Amino acid sequence: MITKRIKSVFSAVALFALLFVMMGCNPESPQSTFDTHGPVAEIQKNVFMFTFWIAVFVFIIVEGGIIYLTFRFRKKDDKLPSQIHGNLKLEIMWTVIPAIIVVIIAVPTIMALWKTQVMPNEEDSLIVEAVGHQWWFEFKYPTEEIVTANELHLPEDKDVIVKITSQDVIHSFWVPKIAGKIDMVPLHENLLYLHADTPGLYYGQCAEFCGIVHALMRFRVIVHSEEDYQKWLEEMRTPPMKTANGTPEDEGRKLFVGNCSMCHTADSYKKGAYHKEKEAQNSRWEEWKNNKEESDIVSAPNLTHFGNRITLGAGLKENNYDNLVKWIENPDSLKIGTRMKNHASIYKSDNNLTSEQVEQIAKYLLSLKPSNENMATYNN
Amino acid sequence: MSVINKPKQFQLPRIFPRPTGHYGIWAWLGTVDHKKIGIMYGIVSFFWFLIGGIEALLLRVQLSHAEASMISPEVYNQLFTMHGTTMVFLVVMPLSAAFFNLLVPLQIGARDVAFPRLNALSLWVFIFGSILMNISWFTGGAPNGGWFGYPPNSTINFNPGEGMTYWVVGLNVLGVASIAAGLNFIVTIINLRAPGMTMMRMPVFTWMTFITSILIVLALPILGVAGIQLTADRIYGTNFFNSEAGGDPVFWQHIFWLFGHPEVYILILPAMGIVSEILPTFSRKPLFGYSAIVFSGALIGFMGWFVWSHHMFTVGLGPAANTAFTISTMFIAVPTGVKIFNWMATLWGGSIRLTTSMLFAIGFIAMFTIGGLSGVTHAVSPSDAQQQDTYYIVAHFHYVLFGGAIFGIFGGIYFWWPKFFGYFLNDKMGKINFVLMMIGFNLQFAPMHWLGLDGMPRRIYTYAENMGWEGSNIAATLGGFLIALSVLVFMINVFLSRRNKIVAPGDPWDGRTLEWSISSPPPHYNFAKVPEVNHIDDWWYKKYPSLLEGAPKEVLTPKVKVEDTSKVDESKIHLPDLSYYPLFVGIGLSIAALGLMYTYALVTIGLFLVFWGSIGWSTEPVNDPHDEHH
Repeated sequence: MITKRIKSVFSAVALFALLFVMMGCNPESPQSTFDTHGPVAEIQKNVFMFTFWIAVFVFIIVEGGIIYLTFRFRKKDDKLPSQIHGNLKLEIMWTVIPAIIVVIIAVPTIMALWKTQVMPNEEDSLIVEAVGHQWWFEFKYPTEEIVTANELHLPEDKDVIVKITSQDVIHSFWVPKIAGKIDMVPLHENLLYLHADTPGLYYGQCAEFCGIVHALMRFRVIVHSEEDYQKWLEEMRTPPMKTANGTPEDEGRKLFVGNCSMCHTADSYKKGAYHKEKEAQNSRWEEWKNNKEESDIVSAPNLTHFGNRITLGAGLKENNYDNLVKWIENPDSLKIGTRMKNHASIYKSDNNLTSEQVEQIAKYLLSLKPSNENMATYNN
Repeated sequence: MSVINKPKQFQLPRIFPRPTGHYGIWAWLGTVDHKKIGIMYGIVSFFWFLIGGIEALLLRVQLSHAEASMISPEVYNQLFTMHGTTMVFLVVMPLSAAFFNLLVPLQIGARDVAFPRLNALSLWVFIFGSILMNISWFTGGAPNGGWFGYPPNSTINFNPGEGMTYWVVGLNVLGVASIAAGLNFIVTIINLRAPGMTMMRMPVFTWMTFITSILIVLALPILGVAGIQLTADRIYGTNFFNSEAGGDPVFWQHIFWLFGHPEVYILILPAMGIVSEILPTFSRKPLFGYSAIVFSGALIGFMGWFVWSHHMFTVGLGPAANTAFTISTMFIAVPTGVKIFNWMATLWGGSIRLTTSMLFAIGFIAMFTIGGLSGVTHAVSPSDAQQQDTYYIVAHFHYVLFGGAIFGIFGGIYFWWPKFFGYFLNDKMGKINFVLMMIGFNLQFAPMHWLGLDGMPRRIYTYAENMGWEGSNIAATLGGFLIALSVLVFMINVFLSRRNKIVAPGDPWDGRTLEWSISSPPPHYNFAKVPEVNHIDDWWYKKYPSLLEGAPKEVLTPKVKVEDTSKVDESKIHLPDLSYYPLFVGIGLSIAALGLMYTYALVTIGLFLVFWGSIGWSTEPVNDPHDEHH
């Protein structure tokens, strides 16, 4: 009778557990920590799985034990059970065994920790700088003198050291399939070791709560073959095609220069533009910081070769004409609380753009592509 | 009789007459009785439990599908900030305080706590502090910087508006309540134990209260310092956390978590104490390894000071610091494991009655174990780099704080309800409550493990459709509503049980500790005669003295009965008179705090109330001459 009940409870619990496992992890998810594409994420996954199986073992013993004991020792009559106060041997045993298990977990943990957190040799590595802004990512390549935003391009199979900081509040830089996260702390530089071993498109997202649209602070990492990566570098130094007089793109260019270019740089393909952008970004920040109510200047993502971007609004939407028009018309419709909407003069009532002008700007921005057609592949 | 002529003591002129008696509103507002204070703690924090629960449901509704727009990001951020703050500071801590108040004096055979008026002050400061913090909903936005309030996002530069000021000022006010209560219980437990009750004969719940109180007294001042710094940054433009002026936002994280990790044990140790009382009672045998459970509790409390940086594994402290905190964190699993195995061994060989409170206690062990195991996977800091700030963490700490603390507290409510109200809660409905809560809880929080491992960060108000997170989120939302249903069943149970009272005797469960040796509800003076204690579980061995000689397994009848209070001469029992001064000091403190945000006129009024109340309090005699009997 009692064993039958235990069995039925066990099978109910087992069924429940199975149900959970079935709905369980989804390696198809673009941010799955199980579908790893680099040694750092791989090491982190392996040490997790190692701990996980030990935890499963302990879980079965404890949970099975609780169910068994509860039913095995149900009250049968009014007799008092023997009054046991303890058992020194048993208690020593279940102090020592967990301690041993902890040591067994600690050894691979500490090995993995040092493997993933000690930086590779700086000379043989690609150095990238990542700066967090509310609510977008700025990426800089100090050696290559390239600056871009929200889409980080990396070569495959190369050690990368990401120097990470923030301009405003604390953010966190995280590309789950390539490596675990590290925080972006203002005026402080953190280092993250990245190494991607397959070309492809990877999702990243800010992981530290950073204000109103923390949820929409996303980015992409595009990993190229070495050859494609070199092409990309080349493109980033190539000017876009000239807009022809009288075309909507050309009208858009004029509007952009007049209304947008104080905050958005779009010509960092030029020589020396890298250092100029650094200074410009700092002065925009100072401008906003010192005059938060009135300032119509704010830090803003670099838009060089924006036409080649996959997404807009910091990994938010596919970068296409319709979305871009919506975005320029009213950023709030896609992402509430952006500094652009709150500060740019075009959103102040006396200075609204007509929808035609918005469309012209969108067309211009989408035309920002390197003039040589020898494009790198961005597909998955 | 000769009355010694004492010089007449100075007393503030009274504006209101000193409240007297045991009934009516002033008997509650002016009470210094630990039982009344405990009940008020319970009612108010249960109210906040409902509010915090509603906040959680709104969050779950918004997350139930991708790209939902039921709740705007502004409101979402306020909701999750206040959900966390409410559940930690306005629910689990004060619910534990309710149990401290109700139980500790009874378990150690005392008439009250050491400082009854200070105890009343703690209650009032808590109540008005909790209201103060929630006023912010109506003054232009609740706090929205997270319950951890990380600067710079919580500073005035990035978070203008009063929300976060309410938060940080409110926390400091609540801290006063907690520290006063912590000191009170430390002194009570050290000084007011009945004759013969050595430390190692104390009930485990009292032990856990003692350890928790020490943690409160040491940890809350740390939060107080951090809070004052952040308040000053926000109101007076200081630069404690402003890195551009040489301050350091990461410094906040260190002090916040230096408070915050012991805080975790402040939240869980009382529930562990509750469970350690329920399990032996319904197994009808002693707690297995009493001293191991006590010492592991103390060890957890001690080690809790050396692990704070595991909340900061991704801040960039470097591999050496991460190694140190990895090791210290992992080893906390050892005393925790000892407790779990000792509880299991308590069940072993018992004669188990599956009452509602026993179900909750067993549920506590089962769920807390899961939270403990996922905790070990966080301690593995390299994989924590993936888990940090994801739903995996949310899953983990809800297994500890809901599956742990709240399950324990519900067990405690069903267990001690008949003691304090004199009637039972319906056991059938209690079991429905348990089953619904158990299923709802697991349905809500188990899928969050997968969500976190699939890369879903915390504190995001929305997510894209292609992320593959929808299924688990739907399950979690359904689970949330099941929990809400279970809480509703609990409230109906209280309502119905109160209407159709089934009277409870003084010792309804065949209890083990002193609170069961008196009538239910306990008389206001607790014990007519101070009990003498000879053993752990003294009441149990007074009932069954033959057990001490190793009696064979048999049916035993209790040798003593619950104290009969009808013949007690109450005029011989001296208890302090009521006082309204704690109430005024409590109100004054919150008014002054509110004034910090608006006008110094309010600060002045508030501080005046505090000073007037304190002077009135300190010059008021324990008993007024006209009321010799009490």
